[in-house]
Amino acid sequence: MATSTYLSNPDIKIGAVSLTDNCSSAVLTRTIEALESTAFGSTSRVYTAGLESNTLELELYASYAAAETYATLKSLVGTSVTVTVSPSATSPGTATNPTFTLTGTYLESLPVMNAALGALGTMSISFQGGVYSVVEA
Amino acid sequence: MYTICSERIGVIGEPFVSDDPIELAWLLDGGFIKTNTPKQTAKKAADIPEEE
Repeated sequence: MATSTYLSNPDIKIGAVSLTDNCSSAVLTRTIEALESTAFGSTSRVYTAGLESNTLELELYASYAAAETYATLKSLVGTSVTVTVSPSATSPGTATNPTFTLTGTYLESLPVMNAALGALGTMSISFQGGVYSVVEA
Repeated sequence: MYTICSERIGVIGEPFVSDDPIELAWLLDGGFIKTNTPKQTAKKAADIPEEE
């Protein structure tokens, strides 16, 4: 049994704007591409680090009111922005509540309308690339 | 000078400072901040020219 678990309640910021109260899912994945360097004579495949290729996927509730989801994201499509994610909004940037940052991450697309009968509208967005850093001191 | 007008970026009414013109344009467009307009004070009677 796990001795320490985490009930997900992260703090989400896009630029200076907090969208925590409109977000229901956040997945930040740090990826360093694997480049195969296996050579003749090897008995197993081996890899070396390539370029870093990070992503942040967010599931947001759609809102077209002032200073809400659409107003935040509409100008960011096709641009790069800095996004930060912390496990909790309380005292971020500490050893037990690290702040993960993607600097210069790119927003390729925005589903401006995603509607279904009887359901809340949502916007699934994906930030690609950017420089990964973490503050945990 | 800019003032915060959305809780999403801070305390409403507090000044917002940024050196990034792109960020400022984005936040203005989204309604998160507003431009401060200097308050005008009423002219003193002595400054108003008398009509003849």
